[in-house]
Formats: sequence, structure tokens, C-alpha cells
Amino acid sequence: MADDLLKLMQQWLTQLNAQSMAPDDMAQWNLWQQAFAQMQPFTAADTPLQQAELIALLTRQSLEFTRFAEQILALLDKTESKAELSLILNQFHDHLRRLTHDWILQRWQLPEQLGALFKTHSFQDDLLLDNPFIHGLKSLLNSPALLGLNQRLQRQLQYGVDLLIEYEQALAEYSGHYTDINNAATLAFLHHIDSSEPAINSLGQLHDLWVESYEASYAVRIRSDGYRDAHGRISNAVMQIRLFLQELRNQQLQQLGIPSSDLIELLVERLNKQRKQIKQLQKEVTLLPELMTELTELRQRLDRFTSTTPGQDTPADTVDGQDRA
Amino acid sequence: MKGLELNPERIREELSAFQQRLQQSYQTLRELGTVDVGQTPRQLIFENDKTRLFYYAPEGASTLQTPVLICYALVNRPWIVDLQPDRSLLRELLGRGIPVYLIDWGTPDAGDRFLDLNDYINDYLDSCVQACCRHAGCAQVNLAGICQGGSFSLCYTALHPQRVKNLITLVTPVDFHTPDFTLSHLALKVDAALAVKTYGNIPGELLNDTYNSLMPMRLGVQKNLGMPAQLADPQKAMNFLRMERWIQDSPDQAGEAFRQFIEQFFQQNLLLKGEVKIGAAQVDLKRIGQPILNVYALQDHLVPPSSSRALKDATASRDYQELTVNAGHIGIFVSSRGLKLLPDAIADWLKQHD
Repeated sequence: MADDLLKLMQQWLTQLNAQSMAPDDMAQWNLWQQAFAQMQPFTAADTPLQQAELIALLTRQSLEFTRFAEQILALLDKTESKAELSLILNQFHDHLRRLTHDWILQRWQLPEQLGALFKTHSFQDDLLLDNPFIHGLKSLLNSPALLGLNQRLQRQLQYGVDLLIEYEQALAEYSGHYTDINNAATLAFLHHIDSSEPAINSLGQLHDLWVESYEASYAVRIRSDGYRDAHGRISNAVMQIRLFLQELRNQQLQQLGIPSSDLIELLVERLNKQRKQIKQLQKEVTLLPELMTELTELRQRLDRFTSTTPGQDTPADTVDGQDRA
Repeated sequence: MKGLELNPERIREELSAFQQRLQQSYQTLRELGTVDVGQTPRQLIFENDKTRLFYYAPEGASTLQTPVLICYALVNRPWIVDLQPDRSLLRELLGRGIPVYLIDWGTPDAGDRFLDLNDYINDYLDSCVQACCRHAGCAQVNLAGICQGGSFSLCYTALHPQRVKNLITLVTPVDFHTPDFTLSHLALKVDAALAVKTYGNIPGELLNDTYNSLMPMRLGVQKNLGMPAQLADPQKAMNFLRMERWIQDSPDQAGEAFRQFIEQFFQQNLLLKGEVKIGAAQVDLKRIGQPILNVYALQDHLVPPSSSRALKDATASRDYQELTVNAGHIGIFVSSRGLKLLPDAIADWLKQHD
């Protein structure tokens, strides 16, 4: 399998070098995709996990980079006009904006259960915009008892919808910061290109310049109070939804008489208290022999003291005498 | 756009070179075996729940009466100080005749959800200090804390000053509210109690994402696109994989300890105010009179130098010294620049204070 893959990659390289096909020829692109597609079984079967994961990551990134490079090539081959360079930069900007967008959605994705729910609906892409599902559900829940929902469940679902709305708004606010960061980075990027001496002539340089421009804009923005608040808001919104779903699940489990995570947590908390008590007892038990030794030594010293000073009351005698009296 | 002269020929060459390196990378990754880390011989001398204490014997006779005990952070794993034979701060110290003990906190599971800072500092760390003293036949240790482990070491020294002879803090956050402390700034509005209620233990993966988000393009796109250049060569690939393995090896955080650390240290900045509570005790840094060597990295994007430098006026120590290394938070331990400077500086300072 691995040899097949490498052969396929070699074939692609040969084609690229020989320019035997037009750069925008889809066949070339398909060949490359085919090579990447073959990577998955190859990595799973032959390679240690860490390397396999790295290969998967490399594959994803390379696919993006190659696709972008080929789009640029296609544009360059079509025209020699410098005016068209703005098109190239737009391509580049779109390419990176897509990466950023994917990153945001991946980082702040909904809990698995909700994600799965939305994926079953065709409007999944509208989630951030209009979101008919949420509106529909909300209006449904606003109609009282006719639906047969008991009040508690209705209240819970209403709360769930509120959480989803908060998530949606928080994500929109958070994404807004990234739009601003991208715009500021693009301005800086264009400025750097314009003043670049000598001129930039490779995609690698272009990438590096973008990274510099982006990180500079990003560093300024994330230190702002607005970004900090948006980051806190989206973090908390995602966690609240996750917690809400967990609590719903726990209630269902409780009704069925199955131990829930709440119950397990309670047990863990009690065990932890007992663990601390046992450790404290162990410490005290460990100290006991030392205390016993000290006590024995004290007794011996007292005996010696008593035997060398006959006729004097010892503190113990006094105590005994008082007790007897 | 006068500064841009893209040429199809040049891009084809670039793409071709990229793909060739990529091809070579796949080949290399396929051929590389298991990634070895932390290879320096060691001896397990003590265990307390999941916490383990390892002893590393010095090469030849010991040059110090008091051994070094390294206290690493709860985040990530301590073997960054022993990444590989030629990039090992630990091995360098042993080579200078310094006996080293290293704490491994282990990996918390669901049963550890309620472990708190009191457990980590007054039980695990304290018992390791005592085990170290018993093993080395001494009454005190030279405590070296790294990052969060440095904050723990400060707390421990303030609470148990009689057990610490000298204190070394490495890339340690002290003032959590300096203007350039981005990580702390971002943590300010995150509800730590909600996080713990939601996740129980905090997933290590979540924390890794947070660290990466501090420089998303540099640690994402740029790093990934630069990978084929690293991976094409087997030796470089192995070094890269070791580092990656360390980055990915991020244990979950015991929930309650995480909450206390975020709230007291990050959000309320109580360490510097002398108001951190560990169990029933309050941590007053002014109780620290030990000699201190404070090491920080100039390019540290996680713990900025401004945060570490706040230690200078925070304690009662009259013997305070700083060492700056022109490296990053991790580079200080694994870069040639860091390893050229750090082992000698630490060894010399310890010998002067033994």
C-alpha cells in the first residue's frame, strides 16, 4: 500500500514537472486527492499512532496548500497582467479566512449530541445566521400545556433554547473579532507587500509574511478587553450547554434507576474526604512509635530522678495524692 | 502591487520541492520506530497515590551536599528536562555532579476530581521533599520549580521554610496581572467553577488548544507547512517527534486544583498579594528568606518575563539573583542556547550556596 502511494505521488510530481497537463486540469487535482485518500489505510496499518496522526495532519495541510497553489498557478497561467494579482491576493485571503473559520468552529463546536442533532437537519449551515430550528423550537415551547409537555420539562427546554441563543450570539461576537483581526492583518499584509524590497516571488514568502501580519494584529486584539470578554463569553456558553445536556441525561438516568454522573461524583467526593481522613490517621499512626519512644525516655528520666532524690515527692506522687484526697 | 512578482515557473518549482519533501516525510515517518524520551537511568524511590519520585544519580562523586528536587507543573509532563540525551537539562546537571530528584504527578483520573492544591502542596510535594531528604540523608532540599511548579515551590517554601535550603524558580508566573500576560488575560472571564462542574477533570487537550490559540498562525499554518522540511531528515524528524510527543502528552487536570489555581492565581492574583489559601494556611511570600535564583525566558509567550520578574520584591530573600535566557518557554530547556547557559549557571549558583 505504501509503495503504491509513493508511486502515485511520484507520478503526480512527474506530471507537475513536465507540465504535461494544464495546471487547472481537474485530472491532476483528482490524482493528488486520490493519493491523499490512500493515505488513511496506509497510516492506520503500518505506522505507530503518533506518526499516523502526524501524517493525517500533514495530509490535511498539504492538501490545502496544494489546492491553493494550483489555484494561483491557474490564475497566473491565464494572465500575465499585474492587475490580476489582486485576484491572487483575494484567493490567498479567502484561503486563510477559511482556515480561520474552520478553526473557530472546530474549537467552539457544540457538544456532540447537539452537533449530531443539527447535522441531521439540512439547515446546518444556517446555524450562525437565521437558525430556523431555534426559532421554531422556541415558538413551539412558548405554547403551553396543549403540547402535553409537563411544566418542568418545558421550563428545561426553554432554558436550553436560551442557552443555544446565548451560544449563537457569543459565537457571532467572537467571530466578529476574527473578522476584524483578518481585516487588520490583510491591510498590514498588503502594506508589507507593497513595501517589500526585493519583491516577493514565492508562496512560502507570502505565507510567512501573512503569518507575521496576522500574529501582529492578533496579538493586539487578544489583549483588548473586548476580545477577553468575548472569549470568556463563548467559553462559558459552550460549557453551559454541555452541562445542561449532562443534567438532562442525569435526570433521565435517575428516573430509570441507573447511577448518573452526579451520583458518581458524589461518591468520589465522599471517597476523597475519607482518603484525606485515612491519610491523616496514617500520619498520626506513623508518629505514634516516635511518641511512644519519647514517652518511654521521659518515664526513664523520671524514674532516675526519683531514685536519686529519695524523700522528695514526685509530681506523680503529688498528683496521686491529690487524686486520693 | 509593486512588491509582488509571482512567477508560475518559480511556484511550480516551489510546489514540486514541497511535494518532494512531503514524500520524503511520509517515507521517514513510516520508517521511524518508537519515539524514545526520558532515557536517563533513574530509580523510583517513593510513591504517594499517583505521584512518583525518581532519583537520578550524578556522574561520579556528588559535588553538592544538598540534592536538587525538581517540581514540574501539573500541565504537561516533567520529562521535558530529559527530552533526549543531547537535549537534557537533567543529564547536564548530573554530569556536573549534582544529584537530582524529579517529581512526576502522574495522570489524574475521574477519582481525582476533588484533589485540591492542599493535596498537591502539603501532601504530595511535602511527602516528596521528605522522601528526598530520607534518601539523600539530608535535612533540606534545593527546590527547583518549573512554571506552575515554580508557583507551587514558592507556596511550599513559604509554608515549610525549614525544609528548603535554596530556591530556584524557572519560567515561573508570580504576578499574573502584568499587561503582557496574555494567557492570564484570557482566563479572566472564564468561569473556572463552571468548567470543573462541566468537565470534572479539565481535559489536557482543552488546555493544549488554549496554548496554541495564543499564536494560532505560527503554531498552526506555519508550523504545519514547515513540517516537511523537518521530517525529511530522519534525525530531525525524531527530534521533532519527541517534541510533539511531549506537547501532546498533556494530562487532564484534577478539577478542584485547577479551579483553585485559576481563581486564586490567574483571576485574583493572590500569590503576589500574599493571600493565596492552601488548605487552612495563607501563603505569605515574605516568609521566604532563602537564596533565590529566578530564571526566565525572554521570548516566553506563556509566562512573560514581567510576570516572573515580580518575584524580586515579593519575598524577604536578601540573596536574589536573576538569570535571563534568550529563548522561549520550552526552548529554555531544550534549545542549544538554553542548554549552553542554564546547566552551568545552576550548578555554579548551587555550589556557591551549598
